[in-house]
Amino acid sequence: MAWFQGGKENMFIDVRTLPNETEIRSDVCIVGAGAAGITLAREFVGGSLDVCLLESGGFEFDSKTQSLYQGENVGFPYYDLELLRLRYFGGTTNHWGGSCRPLDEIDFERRDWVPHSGWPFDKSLLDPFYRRAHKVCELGPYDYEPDAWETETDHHLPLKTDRVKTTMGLQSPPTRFGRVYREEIRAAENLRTYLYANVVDIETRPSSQKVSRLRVATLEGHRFWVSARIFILATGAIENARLLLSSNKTQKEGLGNEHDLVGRYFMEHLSVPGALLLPSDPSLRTGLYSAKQVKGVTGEGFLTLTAETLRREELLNVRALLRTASPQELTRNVSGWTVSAERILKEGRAGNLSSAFIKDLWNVITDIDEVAIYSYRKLVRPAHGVLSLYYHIENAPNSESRVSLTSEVDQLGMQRVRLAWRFGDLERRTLTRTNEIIGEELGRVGIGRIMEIQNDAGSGWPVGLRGAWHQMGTTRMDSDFKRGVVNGDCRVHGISNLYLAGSSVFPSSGYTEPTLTIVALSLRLAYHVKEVMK
Amino acid sequence: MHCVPMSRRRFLCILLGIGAVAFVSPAGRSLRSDRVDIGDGRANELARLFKNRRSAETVGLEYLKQAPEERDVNLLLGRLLEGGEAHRRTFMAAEASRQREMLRRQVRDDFARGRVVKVGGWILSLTETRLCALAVALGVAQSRVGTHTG
Repeated sequence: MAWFQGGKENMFIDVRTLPNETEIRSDVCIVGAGAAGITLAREFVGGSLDVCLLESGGFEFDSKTQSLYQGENVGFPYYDLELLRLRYFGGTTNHWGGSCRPLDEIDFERRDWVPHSGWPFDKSLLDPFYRRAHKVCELGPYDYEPDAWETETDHHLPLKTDRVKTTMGLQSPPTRFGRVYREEIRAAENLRTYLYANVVDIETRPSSQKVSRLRVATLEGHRFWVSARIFILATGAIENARLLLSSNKTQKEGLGNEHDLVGRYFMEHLSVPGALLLPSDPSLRTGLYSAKQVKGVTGEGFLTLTAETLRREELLNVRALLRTASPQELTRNVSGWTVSAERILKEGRAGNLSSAFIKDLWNVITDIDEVAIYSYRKLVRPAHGVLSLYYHIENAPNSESRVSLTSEVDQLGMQRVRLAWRFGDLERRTLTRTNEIIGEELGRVGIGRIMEIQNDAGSGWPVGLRGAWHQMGTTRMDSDFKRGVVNGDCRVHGISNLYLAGSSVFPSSGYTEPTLTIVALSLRLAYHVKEVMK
Repeated sequence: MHCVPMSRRRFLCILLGIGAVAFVSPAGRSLRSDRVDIGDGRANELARLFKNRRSAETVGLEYLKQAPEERDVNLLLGRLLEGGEAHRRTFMAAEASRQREMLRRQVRDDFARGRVVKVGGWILSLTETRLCALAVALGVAQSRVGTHTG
């Protein structure tokens, strides 16, 4: 058997050029070159450890490789699984939108009203890594208070309340990890990246307490092995679970799955148009709530419920983005009880809703709220400036929301996945109460009134509810091996040298995009591995 | 259904097109329902809060579908002016402009205290919807001509 180890091959290697049954040896093997894998790899650059990075694809999108993601959906309607993640160098950062924000303190807490919530540590432990993640994601200062983005004309809504607040999300350029960090990885002397390398099995010692090597295959039929002292899977929330479940030669239920947790607690953010906001004053300035750049950093404000409100009301975490309502949203949500959809659409396109109920309501609330626009109202036809409140709602951890394996296999002989995305009463109550709370606060200060988006008769949820492309959970973190797949260090319980990186380890998800937390956790994991291997 | 831009028919279009949305907050249900008679003249002063009564009536009619008993002006006033005898006396003694200001504050207070009602999905204060209902209850729709400012 031929084998490779470290040294002069500091480069990208097309594994299809290697002899069959080659064994690659390294100190640390990282599987997956996305945000997590590349962040991890960079942390080892220039160090004493010999590292190999395995990537399923090459440098460009390839439909054959991408099709390895195919799977079926059996839960709440979800996207085609082949479309969401990208399977080539840089991973999903190749089409990432770039939105960043750390999880809130409360997201780390064990909340009585959210079963299975809570991380093994609090946010302060991750804060130093979040700061460093900012640099990785090419963000500005680690500051999410709205003050820096406020100007004389664009300021936060004057909600003088302890119930609702304005906070910020920041925008990465977005960093395309595969492009931005490619040269650094290529040039690293202690790092080799193997392209077109698909892990198909994790081989463990008979006791299953240690991974000995990985079985790797190419779509062209090459097979080889990778051995290492430490293995880190960084293949995404669905694929991490798939790999563990598929590696069932010594444990038939899959690796790390003694307590039937692998694949369970899949989470997504519920992205849902929740309400329309009819401002009392159509000239209401909401510039802070659109993406704007200040000192080279792009930020966008949104409304959230305070931690005190979440506790008092026993709700999931949630944020409301403010958007200009589209004619379609108005048609869908207003026309049912006013005038014909055709008419609303026509008027929506014309920029006004002059004869709909919405105008009558607007007349009422401008009088109630004493908006001094009477001359304006007489002179011009009001456009109302209807806004849409678009929510991102935390998905409560739910053991029935899960990834499992089907009997169908892919081109490499691996079983494909079945996804059942589920959510329920807590998410529904969060949506309803958030509308009420924000509606009450906006009314209280005379900003306007909100209308709940009507539920679709079929799904029982507002039309337009969908996932936010944020896949999380499936190998959740908990210091108790009966409740988590990995411990607080991201190591698989019961296996001494297998770690998981990425959003699969999130025990709860908050409302925010996962990428910054993925990067922060990866930085922390790299630090831990270096300490372990000293 | 085809709607033509005639105010009465438009009204009917709105009414017929509205689905039943029957939610009143628990706070709303527990309001006192004392009847108050302040005379039609004073009541009309209150309804003048609205520059456009037709709009107020549209909202008021929708609300009255949920609370038909409040078509009774005196009952409606009783609920609008709940808050004790002293408050009611202060209100009654005030000038019309001061009364309107007190009502505006009451609207804000409704939102702060969660005294809201969902009218066609809109989250509104009980006071403002009752003021709209007052415009309906006073029957001013038929007597008003040319007040539409929109």
